[in-house]
Amino acid sequence: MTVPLLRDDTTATRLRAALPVLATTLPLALVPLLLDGSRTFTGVATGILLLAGYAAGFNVLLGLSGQLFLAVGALGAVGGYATVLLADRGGLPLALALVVGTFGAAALGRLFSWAGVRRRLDALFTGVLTLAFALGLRSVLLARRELTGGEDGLPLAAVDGTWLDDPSAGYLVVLAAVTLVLAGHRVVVAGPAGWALRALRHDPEAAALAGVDVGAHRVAAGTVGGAVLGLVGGLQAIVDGRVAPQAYDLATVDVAALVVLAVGGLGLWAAPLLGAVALGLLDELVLRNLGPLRLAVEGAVLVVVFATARAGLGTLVRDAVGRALARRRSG
Amino acid sequence: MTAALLDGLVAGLQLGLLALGLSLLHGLAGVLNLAHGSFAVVAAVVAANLADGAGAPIGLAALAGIAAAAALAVALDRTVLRAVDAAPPDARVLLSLLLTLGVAFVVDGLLGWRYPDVALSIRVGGGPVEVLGVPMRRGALVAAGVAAATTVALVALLRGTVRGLAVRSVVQDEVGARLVGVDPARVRTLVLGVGGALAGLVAVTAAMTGPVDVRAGLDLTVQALVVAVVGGLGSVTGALLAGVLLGVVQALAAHLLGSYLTTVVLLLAAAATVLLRPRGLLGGDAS
Repeated sequence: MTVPLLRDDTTATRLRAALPVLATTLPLALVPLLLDGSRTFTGVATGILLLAGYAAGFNVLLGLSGQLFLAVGALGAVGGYATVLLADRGGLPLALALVVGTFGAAALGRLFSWAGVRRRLDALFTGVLTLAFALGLRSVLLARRELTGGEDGLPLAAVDGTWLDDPSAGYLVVLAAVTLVLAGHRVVVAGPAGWALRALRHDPEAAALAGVDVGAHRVAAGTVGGAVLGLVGGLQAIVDGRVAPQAYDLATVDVAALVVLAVGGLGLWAAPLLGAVALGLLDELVLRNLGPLRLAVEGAVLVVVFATARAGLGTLVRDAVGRALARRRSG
Repeated sequence: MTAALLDGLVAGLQLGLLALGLSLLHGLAGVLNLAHGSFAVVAAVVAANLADGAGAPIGLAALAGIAAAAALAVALDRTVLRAVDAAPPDARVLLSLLLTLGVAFVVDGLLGWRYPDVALSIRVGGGPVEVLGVPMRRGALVAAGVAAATTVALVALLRGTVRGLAVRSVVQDEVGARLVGVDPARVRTLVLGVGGALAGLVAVTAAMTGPVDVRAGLDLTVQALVVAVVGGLGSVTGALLAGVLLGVVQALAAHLLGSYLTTVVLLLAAAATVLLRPRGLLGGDAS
């Protein structure tokens, strides 16, 4: 195993780490052309990318820093509702509204992580705290009908008649955002912060003894993870042209993001994309027609995967490939 | 206001019982069963199917439902939770959360698919009974009575029997319990089974005050979790006390603020406990 201090750790090296992400996502820009402008299928493809985005944010929190946030959809809702309310009622330009929503979700993510660090909360209590926030937010969104539209939600008038009305444009915007997030993941993990996060994920006490500021890294991960979720939630509102509580439901977003990471592998940069594509295709071909059974199938995937591979299938495959390559090199 | 207080007391006794199994399991084995509420719903569905579908006497149907919930909980222990045993100690909490969450989704999905319109509702005959000048439904009083009697019996079992002592010893000190011949794995199975039975009992008694349908699983789990956290994970007395307190708070909030904000009040209580006093009201106390 390479010792990080002896590696060539330059900005150029770290930026090169983003190349595999670009190589993977750039070809995906051709998807709208392949779909021949079909609104339906472009919508499905955009949905898969949004799921990848949620999973990428969750991956920063759970996969990289071991923080179980049961508020993936809720933080997305913060971004989504902030975008819609600030753009339509606040009169802000749409891009600025999206940025403010992203910062709002980032601030909340930072707050939850900070609280967990300050109070030395383990995964259980962080999960309870964030679950309480998610369910409480849902109740408030439903109760404050005059502000949020209640169960019906709110339309986003700011996109009407703009270039964002075109589903292909929405797809490309979401693809750009997911590319940015995954590239950022690769770049960070390739540097000293990546080693620190790996260490604290594996053994926080040992990491602290080795000089890693566990608290600071967790809070940073909470901030970034929250920002990603807020950004994706805002983009979801933009491509959907509306925002509603059920679009950010725990059973819809959090479950799906967890299944994506279970399949793709916790902590792996490619996990959100691979897992989202796998789940998205499975959903279109099989799960969509199952009704309530869909939840049972997703639950079964979680149980089987995490019972056999604690860090997800992707990690199992990566480790197996790594072992095979090592045997070949030594043999 | 008195009516709200009494309703809160009835609900609180049930909340305490619901949380008790969850709390004890965490104190015992450091794991959390997020499928707890789903098992309660299974009890309601089994009881409803036997009573409405097969025409069985409601008492027998209720017992069968409770037994089904207990059996599911034991099955969870014998299968899925074995993976948690094999994990390193610092990974067990997270793994148990993820695995039991998956089990909850499986149970909820299967119930929603197979019995989409099934709800358990138990009508207790007779008119309202006046308590402190407030007319109370007989169903609510029977539910409160069953919950109270079960609580007393459970506390007596935990304090006055060898098995109860074994459970408390493992919660306090697993190593010490092993040294004196107590098998923590068997104790965990017992606690899970009892917890499942209690969840089933709560679903059946809740059906005396309002219908319990297949979508109630997550709500019940969250309520149990909130009460367990506020009471202090691992504390029987804490779970029961927190249940009554939060039951009363919930009823008063519903009376004054409406149902949506009632949920917010409960969740704020959980959040405040996690932030200000993570060990809860009586956390660390195994009695």
